[in-house]
Amino acid sequence: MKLFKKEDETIQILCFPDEDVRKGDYLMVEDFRSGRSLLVQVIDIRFANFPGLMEDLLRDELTEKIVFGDDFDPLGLETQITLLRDVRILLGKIRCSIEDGKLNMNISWLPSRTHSRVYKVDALRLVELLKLGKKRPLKIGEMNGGLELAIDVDGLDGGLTIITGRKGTGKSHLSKLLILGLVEYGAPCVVFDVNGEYVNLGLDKNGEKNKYYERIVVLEPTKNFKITLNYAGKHILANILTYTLGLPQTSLREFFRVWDETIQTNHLTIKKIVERVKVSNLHEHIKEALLSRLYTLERSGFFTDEEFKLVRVEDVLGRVSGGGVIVLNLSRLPNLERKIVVEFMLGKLVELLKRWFVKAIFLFAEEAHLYLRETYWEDIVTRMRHLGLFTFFITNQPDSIHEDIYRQVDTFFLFNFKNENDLNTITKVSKVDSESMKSITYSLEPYHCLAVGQATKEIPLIIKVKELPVKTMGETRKFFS
Amino acid sequence: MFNPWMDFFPENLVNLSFESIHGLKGEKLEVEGLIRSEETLNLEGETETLNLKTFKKEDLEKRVFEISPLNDYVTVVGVDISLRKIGNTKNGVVCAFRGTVVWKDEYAYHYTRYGPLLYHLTENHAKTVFGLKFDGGNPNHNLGKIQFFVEKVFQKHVLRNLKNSIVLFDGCLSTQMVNVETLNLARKNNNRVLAFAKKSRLYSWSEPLKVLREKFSPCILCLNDLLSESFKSTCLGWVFLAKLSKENFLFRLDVDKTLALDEAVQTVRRLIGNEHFHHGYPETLRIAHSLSILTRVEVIAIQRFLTEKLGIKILRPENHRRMLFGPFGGW
Ligand SMILES: Nc1ncnc2c1ncn2[C@@H]1O[C@H](COP(=O)(O)OP(=O)(O)OP(=O)(O)O)[C@@H](O)[C@H]1O
Ligand SMILES: [Mg+2]
Repeated sequence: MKLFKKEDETIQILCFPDEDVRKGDYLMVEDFRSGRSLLVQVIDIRFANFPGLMEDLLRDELTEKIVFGDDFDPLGLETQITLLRDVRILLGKIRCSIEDGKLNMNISWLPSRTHSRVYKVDALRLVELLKLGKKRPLKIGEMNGGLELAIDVDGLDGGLTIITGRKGTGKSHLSKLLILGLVEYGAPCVVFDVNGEYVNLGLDKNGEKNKYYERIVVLEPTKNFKITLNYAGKHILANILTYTLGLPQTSLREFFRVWDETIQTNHLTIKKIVERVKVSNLHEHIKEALLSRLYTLERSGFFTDEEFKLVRVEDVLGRVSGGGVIVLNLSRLPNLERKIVVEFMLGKLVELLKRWFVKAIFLFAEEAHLYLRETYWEDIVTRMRHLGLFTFFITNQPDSIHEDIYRQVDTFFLFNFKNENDLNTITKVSKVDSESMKSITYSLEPYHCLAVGQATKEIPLIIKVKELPVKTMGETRKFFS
Repeated sequence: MFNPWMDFFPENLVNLSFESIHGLKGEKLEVEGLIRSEETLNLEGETETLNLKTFKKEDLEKRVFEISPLNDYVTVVGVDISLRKIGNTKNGVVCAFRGTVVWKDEYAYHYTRYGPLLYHLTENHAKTVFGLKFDGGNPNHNLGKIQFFVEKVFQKHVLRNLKNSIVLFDGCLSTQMVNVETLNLARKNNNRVLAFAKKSRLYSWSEPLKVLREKFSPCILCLNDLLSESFKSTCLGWVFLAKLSKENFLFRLDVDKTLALDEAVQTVRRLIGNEHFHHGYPETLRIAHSLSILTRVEVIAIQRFLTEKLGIKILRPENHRRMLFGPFGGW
């Protein structure tokens, strides 16, 4: 391999076809005069186009269809010629510079063409160089060449993560893997499971209980998970009424007046509030507005008036606070009810974090646009993060995630995309240049992802995600098969 | 038909290649701005120039034969070689040779291609092995000599293995380009030798074209008795101007002169009955030519071979580097 060109952080390298280099691989450009090296990631592979090649190909095209024959080539030059025609240009991006075995970001220097050596960095060397998975290793898969790769769980701590890619490429699978990894290190996780595909994390492939069984709590809202008005509290209920049910502010004030009256004389139940509203001297419009919302809450089945049926989030959280998962199964809920449950859950988690009931929670939100209200997006990356809610967004519709989120993302797991629009959306992530992102993502194989973040020392790596030892049940539903 | 086996290949050409290349180990090779797409050596006297302007129309008209194809089957064989300089060494030159034989049977075109073979030729070599005397002043002349030499060896090789065919050479049947023995050998095996000179367009503007253009069908114009004595003295062929397809492209066509004129004409008729012509030029020769040509890419591959296998250091004039080799300037 030979250094050919450098423009800003883009490098072109001449490579003979007998050298096996793939997109995403790392190369070292070692300048042996200055003792420095550049770590370069291959983002595209092209044919070298050099003078005279066209002429050659044309000749082939003109003759090969009509003529058949043999070559007597005693010097074996034909192989050299074939080799040369397949010479490739590797397009690479400089990721960092290495001096005295240490990484740094000073990549502005120019290596010498004649006094530099270019070679492929194998996975083992790369992992050592980046010192990956030293502290709290989480084995997530393997690198090109088969080396098992472990990232540091610490890299996921305190941040915002996005997992995105085309349908069926393995996003949920990876997310499960990360969850189990976090659980191993004692972290509490909560999953907003829209497809009901996380409910079996506690079972192995044969359906037998696995070692995570005790640490996985599946909450089925309206079934084993109901709450009372009182437990929800004024604040959360106000949010539900306002954001989910669209209750105007004036009516909301009246609602809480009735609420306060009810609580003084009675045990607080939806029925009691309804009765009070009915007999109150409120304006008919307001009365109707309140009643219709109250009926909706009642019908949702998520609320109960019976104290003994109440499931307290802190109780559940207590069970997983030493490492475990609360799977909030949203798959059976209609749209509106799903939003109500999420509104409640997020509100409650924030409340508990504020009270330091737990230090932090890792929240996995599948297809969040289906249930997350507009105003929460920003909240999640700012306020909630500071309180200790570290969110993982998992989606196959990258444009459903707000732009701000992309800009603020700390860790990014990117699976394959083919669609131009999706490819453009993901380039909003500022961690990696858009050219790399598009080129690599486009050709990622199933179950392979491009990972970048603290967990990879900010160096983008292609990882083949490993299999899961648990019952996955995450298949996209199909009629045939 | 043609027996393509390499055992028949002129052994001295292969051996010489191995020997001379071996002696190159560790040497320095200087390459120059020689890599244009098709380097023709363009030697003076390579193809005798026909000065067509001096011919008069009346003289020409009498000598035109309209010819019709004879369709009885005969194999048509095209032979071409290419020789290209790769670079200079301290005391010689490295060049690459490739030769191709193309033949057409009733169904398709086939080829056997030899090479690329590499030669390192020093003055000493040339004398002892090829029996050639190098001209100190003009390296191109020396290359030309080598080209004629290997071409002749190659022709002989082909004809040794052929029977009852029409054999087409590139160029003309002059003593410089063909050996008399080769023609004798050809006849002995009932082969007919013809040569097409590629520089057709030179003739486009002159009288003969007008004469031939008036004819619709293929026709040839015999020039022998109009040629100068000095020309004739080196010429081993009947010299025709030929228009062999409907398009108005003319080529100089030479036919072995030891054949009677009517036999020569007969051969041309059988040729057009058995071969495709594209722009007046026979397809076997076109294919032989394009398979033999050493392209720029191939020249670079050869240089790489020399560097990798023989540890030869390639020297390039600094200023030529980028211009000539683009991305490969760095080697
Ligand atoms: N690394 C892997 N090794 C083996 N199987 C995998 C791997 N990743 C995913 N799978 C399997 O591929 C299928 C699809 O994976 P998954 O459900 O994770 O895709 P997805 O990207 O979440 O799809 P969707 O967009 O539909 O949610 C599942 O059956 C899963 O078990
Ligand atoms: Mg999924």
